[in-house]
Amino acid sequence: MQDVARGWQNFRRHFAVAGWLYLGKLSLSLVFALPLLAVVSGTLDNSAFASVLLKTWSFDVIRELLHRHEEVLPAFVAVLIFYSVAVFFFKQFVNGGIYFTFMAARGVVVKSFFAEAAGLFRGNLKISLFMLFVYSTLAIMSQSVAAMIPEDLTGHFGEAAFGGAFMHLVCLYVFLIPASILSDVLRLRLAAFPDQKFLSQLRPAVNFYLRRFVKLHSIYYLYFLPMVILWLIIERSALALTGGLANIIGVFLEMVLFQLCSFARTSQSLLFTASIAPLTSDALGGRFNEEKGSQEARVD
Amino acid sequence: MRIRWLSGLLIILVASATIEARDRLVVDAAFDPQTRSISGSILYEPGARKLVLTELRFQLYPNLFCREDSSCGIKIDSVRAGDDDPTSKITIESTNLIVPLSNPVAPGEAIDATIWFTTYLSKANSRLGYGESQFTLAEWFPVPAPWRESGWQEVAYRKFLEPTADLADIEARIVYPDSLQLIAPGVVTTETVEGRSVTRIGMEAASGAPLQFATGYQLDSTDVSGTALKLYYREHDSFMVDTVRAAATAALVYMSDSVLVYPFDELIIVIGGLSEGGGLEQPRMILASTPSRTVRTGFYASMIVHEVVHQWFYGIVNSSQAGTPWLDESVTEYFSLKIGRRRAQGEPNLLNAFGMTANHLMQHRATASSYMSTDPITRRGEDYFDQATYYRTIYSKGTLIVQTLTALMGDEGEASFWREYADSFKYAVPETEDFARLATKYLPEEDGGDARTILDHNRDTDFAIISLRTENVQTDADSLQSEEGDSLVWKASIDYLAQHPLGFPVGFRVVLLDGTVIDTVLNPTSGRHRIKYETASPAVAAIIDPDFQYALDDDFLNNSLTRGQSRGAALRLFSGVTFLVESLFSSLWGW
Repeated sequence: MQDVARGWQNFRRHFAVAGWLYLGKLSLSLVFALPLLAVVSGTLDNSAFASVLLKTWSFDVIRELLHRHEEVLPAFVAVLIFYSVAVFFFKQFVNGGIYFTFMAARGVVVKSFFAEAAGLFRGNLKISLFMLFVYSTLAIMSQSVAAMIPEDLTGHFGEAAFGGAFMHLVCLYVFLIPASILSDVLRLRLAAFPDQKFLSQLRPAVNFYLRRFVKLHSIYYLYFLPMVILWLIIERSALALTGGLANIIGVFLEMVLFQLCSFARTSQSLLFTASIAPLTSDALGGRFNEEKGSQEARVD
Repeated sequence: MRIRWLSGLLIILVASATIEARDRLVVDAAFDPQTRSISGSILYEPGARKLVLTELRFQLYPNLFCREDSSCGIKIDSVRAGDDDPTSKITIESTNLIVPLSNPVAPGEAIDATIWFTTYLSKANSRLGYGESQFTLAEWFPVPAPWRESGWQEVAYRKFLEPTADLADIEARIVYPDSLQLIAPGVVTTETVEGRSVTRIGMEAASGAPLQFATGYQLDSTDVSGTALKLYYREHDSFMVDTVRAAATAALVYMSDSVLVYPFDELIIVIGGLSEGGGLEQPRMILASTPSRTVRTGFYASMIVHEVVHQWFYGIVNSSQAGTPWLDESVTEYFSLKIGRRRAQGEPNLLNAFGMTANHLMQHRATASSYMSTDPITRRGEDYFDQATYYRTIYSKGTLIVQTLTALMGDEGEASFWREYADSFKYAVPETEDFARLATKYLPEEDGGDARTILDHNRDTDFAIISLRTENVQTDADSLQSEEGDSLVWKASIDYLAQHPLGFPVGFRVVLLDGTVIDTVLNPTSGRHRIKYETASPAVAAIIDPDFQYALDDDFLNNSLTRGQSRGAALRLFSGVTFLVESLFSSLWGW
């Protein structure tokens, strides 16, 4: 409980980081989605057939749209892949600043944030490449487990297909979440010991992760599960709003709710980082303990 | 009207000639679950022929899925034709068995032939295979090749084509271990002696005698307007029984009311009786795959409806599944859509999750979109060279074509058409030309269009509104004053495009700002056209084919041009896509 309270304090102290990261994510998504709006608005807004889209997510309309703009889907996928890669590098860059910020006992100015981001970029990139291997292995394992679900629990069409896909997704998440926590621990260790080589970082970080496995996972699910519930509530509310109003006001309100959900997702992730950062700092030491020690010495 | 009546009579006379000429098959066979084979004999007594017979031809459909020299499919042990033994002279080529006759048989002269055979089941074959404590036997004995006025018809099967056979009167005596349960249509008696059961089967006007040997099946029997609807299921599939009963009942009632009264006294559905996904139509019997427990959307029910409709289109109207597959599958799938709409009281939603919708017809539009100008649906089955093209053309494009054709007939015309079609070809084999000739009679007379134009359609058809311009003009106040005293008259100028229209009329609608709707009918030729209106209120929308009668239309989005009616649709898509991309980034990289 004390760890959670410390985490909240840490998160509140650096709340601006959540805001900026959400805005970064939104901006990158808009760069991707705005051209789509430009392409389809003329077609959809002038068509009586498309009006059902104001009420439901009509795949009939989307199908007609894709058929009419056959060039859109390949371009959409290509741009999505491009942006995923761009976001990957951008994330590795800001990671250094984020983990440094949540580890530091004091406030962090923008200049130090970016200085740490640049300084830890290579280290974070190495961790990501290592984690890519771990994620891929776990993803394959998760899908092998998902494939063992009896066939009559899933299906190939309609809701049944959603049910089947949902079960695969749940399996994937259950396998990837422990890796995601390990990734956070590795990055926090890197922020504490920026000069150590990757292999030297790995063993103490893994030891720390294994010793506090239950605590780390408990904290993660403490934030993650309410976020999922919030996401479901928002999704249902958005559907009720748009379905009920069936006009541009409903669409606008749904957009606001979606963005609220997106911000909640960013906050949930950072809240977890903010919660385990003090734990890591206490246990692994490094430059932040020296910093803390010197601050305490000055107070004495 | 008289011409219509006379042609109907003529068709009935032709069809009745076929009924009189129905073949008789007597099968005597024993099933051995240890060797997974069934062996015995089939006695063939052909109906009267108008040509001299120099040979007899049979089909060995299961051999299509066998490699040579393997214990697979139907093996011929010996043959007797009349008093001769032509075993050494028979020819087996792929799925064809040719039995030469030493003495040609004159028209009207009787002949009979007996073939001794052994048929092997294969695990990989869902039609003639075995699974968990069950054995499926469809098309398991040699059946006579189709016979037409010109003689025997050779069918060049491809693996995705279903078997075709003329209807015959079949009697069968089946021997099998009494530890097994036999599910089959037309069962007359079953006797058990010393560990062996003997079942006698009798079926009139059937293309085969399907058998399902199994254990542990329970029976749910319902009377549907005098027909015994028998559902066989195992305990673990019992959750689907109510769904299947409701779907099959709805289909039986709809088809009996709208097309032709079901002429047989039973229909069997075996739930979980097929190893592969989907369903398999057999005479008076449907083999349905094991249902998934998470199916709630009615997909399984939709499949059951499709297979029940097959009892009319292939079972009663004996449309050739290989020769004219569209008459079989396109028509059946079209009726499945109609019954689905009636059951859902609107367009059935195939998704129904997270506010998403997708209707059944639109699914066919999606599947058929790349095949609208590749192959006409009226090609013979053997002319399709790959499975994807076959399925997408016959099932999806075919459904759109039948939907378009019948929409042009109007409700009453369509109802009469299907009744006359089914009456005319009951137990007979229609060809595309027969269907087209009859359908043409029910299309709007003033247009003089031919149904064949639609059936052979193989081009991208599109109706589109290109522009809608309105202007208010000050004119002579005396002549153009409205009731309210306004002296303004609005002029609307609408440009529309008709790309490869089918030669039939198409509806055109203009909506004015004051809510007035002006409906008219166009007979467009290919190209760009302009239509002008003078109205008391400005036009805010123009729609061509407002009821979407032309399911073949390449693009429904451009059928209308509106001012503000769907403003926000693009924004919603944008909002959803943005959120999806944000969620993807969050999942991939953490925040």
